[in-house]
Amino acid sequence: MVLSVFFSIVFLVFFLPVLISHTTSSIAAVLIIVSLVIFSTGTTGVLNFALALLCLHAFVIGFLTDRKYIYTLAIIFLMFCPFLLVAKLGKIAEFSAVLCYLSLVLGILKDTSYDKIIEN
Amino acid sequence: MTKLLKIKILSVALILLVTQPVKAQTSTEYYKSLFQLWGTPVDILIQDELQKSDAPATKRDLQKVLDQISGNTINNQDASKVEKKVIETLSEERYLLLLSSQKNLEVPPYRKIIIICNTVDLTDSSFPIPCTSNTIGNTNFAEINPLESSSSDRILKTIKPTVIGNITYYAIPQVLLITPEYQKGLGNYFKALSKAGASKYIPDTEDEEAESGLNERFRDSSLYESTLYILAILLFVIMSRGVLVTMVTRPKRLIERSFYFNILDHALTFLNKNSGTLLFNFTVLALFYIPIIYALHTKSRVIGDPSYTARYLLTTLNPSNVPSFLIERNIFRIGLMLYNFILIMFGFFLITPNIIAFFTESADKLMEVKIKTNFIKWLIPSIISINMFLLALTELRSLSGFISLSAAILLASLLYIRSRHINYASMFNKKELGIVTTGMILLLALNILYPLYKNSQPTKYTYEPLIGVKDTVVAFPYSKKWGKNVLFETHLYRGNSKVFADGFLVYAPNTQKIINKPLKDFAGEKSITLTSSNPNDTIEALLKKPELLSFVENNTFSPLFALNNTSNNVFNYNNIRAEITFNCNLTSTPSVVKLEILSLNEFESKSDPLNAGSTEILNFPGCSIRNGSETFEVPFNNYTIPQELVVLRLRGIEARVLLGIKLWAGTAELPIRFLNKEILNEDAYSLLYSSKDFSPEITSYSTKVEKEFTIEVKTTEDGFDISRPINDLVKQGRLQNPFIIWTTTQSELIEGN
Repeated sequence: MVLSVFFSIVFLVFFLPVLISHTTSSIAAVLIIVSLVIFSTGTTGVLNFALALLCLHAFVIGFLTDRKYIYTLAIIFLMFCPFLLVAKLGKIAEFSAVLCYLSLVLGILKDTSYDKIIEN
Repeated sequence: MTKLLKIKILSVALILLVTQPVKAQTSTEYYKSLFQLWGTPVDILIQDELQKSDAPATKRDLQKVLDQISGNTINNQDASKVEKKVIETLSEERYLLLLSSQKNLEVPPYRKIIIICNTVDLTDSSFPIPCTSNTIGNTNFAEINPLESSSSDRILKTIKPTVIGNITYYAIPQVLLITPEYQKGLGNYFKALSKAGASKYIPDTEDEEAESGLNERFRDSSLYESTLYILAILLFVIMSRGVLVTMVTRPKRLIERSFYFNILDHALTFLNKNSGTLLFNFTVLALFYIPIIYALHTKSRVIGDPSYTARYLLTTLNPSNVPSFLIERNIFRIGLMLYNFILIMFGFFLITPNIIAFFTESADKLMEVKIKTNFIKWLIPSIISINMFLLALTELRSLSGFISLSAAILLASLLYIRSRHINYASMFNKKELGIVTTGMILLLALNILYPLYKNSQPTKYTYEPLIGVKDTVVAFPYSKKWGKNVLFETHLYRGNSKVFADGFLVYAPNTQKIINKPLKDFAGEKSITLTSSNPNDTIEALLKKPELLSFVENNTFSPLFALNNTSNNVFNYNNIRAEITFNCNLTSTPSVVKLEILSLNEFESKSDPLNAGSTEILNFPGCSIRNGSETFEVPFNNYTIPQELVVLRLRGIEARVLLGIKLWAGTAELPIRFLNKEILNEDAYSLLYSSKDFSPEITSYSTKVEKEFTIEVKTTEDGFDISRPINDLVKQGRLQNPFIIWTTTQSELIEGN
C-alpha cells in the first residue's frame, strides 16, 4: 500500500506545487521506494537494485549498438555450442545457447522497436 | 612404458611429494611444535624409527641413561669413558624431547633433554626429579587452581634444570602442557630461557635484537642515526615528488577532479601502450595452468574424488590459509598461490583499461541518445501502473526483483528528463492527465480494498498430493514444500511407527487421541514422547523442568551432561579436576577441548533464555599411544560452574574421540548425568524418549510446539490418513515451509504415488 502511494507520487508530483524542482522530487520518491524495498528485503534488495541497474545499462547499450555486432555475437555463441558439446561441457554449451538466444532477442527488439523509441 | 604414461606418473609423483597428506599428530609432535613456538629448538624420537640391535656404543636408551645416572648398572669408569665420547658428539643448541612413557628407545647424544612425565613410573625411581603426569617434587598441579596468580611462581620454582654428567634435564609434568593456563605460564618460562640462550644478556626492550656483528659504537653514533633519517626523507621525496610539487606550487589543483583523473589517465595510458606485452605475459603464464590442471585432474582420478581439483585450487587461493601453508612449509601450495596472484594481477591490468573504456564510451553514448518524447511520456505512467497493479495482488517479497528493475528504469528516465531540461508536465493535455490520474486513483483504491476483500472471503484451497514425487516407494524423513492456500490430498499410512510432522506427533499406533504440547509445559503424564530439534530450546526446557532429566538420561558417555551443583560445596576446594578419556584407536589431531556451561538466565530474557559460558579446559596433544585409550587429568577454576543446575557440554573435539569424563572436587566425584546426545542434533528432529506401553491417549512434547494441539486418530482398515492432521496444522500456520514428515523408524519406506 505504502509503495503504491509512493509510486503514484513519482508521477503526480509533476503536477503538484513543490518547493524543489519536480524532477528532483520525483527522483526522491523513487529513491524512497528503493529504500523501502531494501528495508523489507535486506541485502537481497540491495543486490536486486544493483543488478537491475547493471542489466538496464547493458540492455540500453546493446540496444543502441549497431545490429551487425549483435547478430555477429549470436552467431559466435551459436558456433561455440557444438564444440562444447563434443568436449562434453554440456552446461557451458547450454549457457552459450542461452547467450545466443538473448543476442537474437536483443537484435529483434532493436529491429522492431528502435525507430519507435529513438529519434534519429 | 609410453611417454604419456611416464608423464602421468611423474606428475602424480610430483603432486604427491609436495602436497602433504593429512595425518594424525601424536602428542610428541604436538609438544615439539609447542616448544618450537616458544623458541626452544627440540627434536623428538619418532616411534617408527626405532633402534637397531647393533647400534654403536654411543647410543643408549632412556632407562640405561637413568640407571647410569643412579649408578646402578654401569661402573663409573666405563660410564665416564662413554660419557666423554657422548659429550664430544653432542649438539650444543638443540633439546631432545622425551615422554616418560617412551621406553627402550635408543637415545641419541644430546646435551639438553626435556622429559615430559606422562606416567607414574618416575615417582619412586632413582631419577632425582620424581614426577608424574600431575606432580613434580611435592607440588601437585592438579590440585592448584590454574587461575591463581601464584601458579606462574610455582612453575618457576619447580621446573628447574638438573645437571647430571654435563647433561641438563628438564622434567615437566604433562598437566602443565595440557592445561591452558599452565601452558601459558610454561611458555613464558621457555621463551625467557630461549632468549637467555640466544644472547649474552637480555635486552631491556622487545625491539632490541641480538648483535649481528656490526660495531656497536657505529650503530649508536649520531652520524648513523642522522643518515637513517635523511635516507627516509629522501626516499619519501623521490616517491611523492609529483604530489609535493603540486602541493607547494599549485595547491588548489589537489581539490580538482581533473588532477586525480589525470593520474588515472596516465596509468591507463601506460597499460594501453603496453597491452601487447601484458597480453603476451598473461598468455604465457596462463599456459602453465595446463600441466597444473592435468596433474591435479590425474590425482583426482587416482584418489577417486572428482571434486579434488576444484577444492585444491580454492583452498590454495584462499588467503586465510596462507599462515597454515607457511607453518607446514608447503612450498608447492605457496608457489601455486603466488603464481595465481601474479596471473590474476596480469589479467586485471589487461582487462581494466578495456572495462573503463567500455563504461566511459557507453556513458558518452547514453548522453548523446535522444529518446522520442512520446515514448518517455508514456513509459513512466505505464511502469507505475503495472507496479501498482501487481502490488495490489501479490506480496512485496515476490515482487522485489521486478520493483527494483522498475525503479531503475524510472530513475534512468527521470535523470534523462532532468539532463534534457524537459518540461514533463507540459507533455500531457488535460484529457490525458485526467485518464492517468483517474487510473492511479483506482489502482490506489484497489490496493486498499482488495486486501480487505481477500481477507473477508473464505480461503479457497487447492489440493495437491502430500508426497509430490512420482516414485512408487518413498523413504521418510520426507521434506514437503507447500505453496500458499494449498492443502494435501488423502494419504494413507499403514505402518507401525509413530509419525511426526515437524515437532507434532500426528499418528501413533493403537492410539485414539494425541495431545501435542510444548516441552516447557511438561506435566509427567504416563504415556509420552519427547522430541527435539533445537538443542538450546531443549536444554532450556530441561533446566526449567529438571524432572525431564530422567527421561533423557543415558547410561553411557555423552558429550552433553547435567550437574546439579546446588548441594556440592565445590567452592570449598581450590579447583575442580576433569578426567577426560580419549579413544586412541581413532585418528586424532591436537585440539583445544572446551567446556560449555549452560544455565538459566536469571533475568528470564525471552531472546536469551540461557547463559552460555565457555572455558578451555584441556589442550589435547593427541594420543601418545596408537591403540586403546588415554586419560588426561586437568584442573580448572572451581568458580567456572555456577552453583545451580547446569548442563555441560564438551566442545572443540569430535564426540567419537571421547570415551568418558569425570569431574572431581577434592576426593569427591561430582555426580554428573549423561544426557541423550540426540539433543545436540541440529540438522534433524530426534526422538528423545517414547513410552514403551501403548495407550489410547498419548501426549507428545516438543520444543517446536508453541500451543497445545489435539488430534483425534481415526484409523480405517486401509490405514490412517496423515494428511488430515497435517492439513489442520497447515491451516493454523503451525508448520514450517518446507516441513519434515518423519517417523520413529530410521529411513522408513512407504508407498508413494
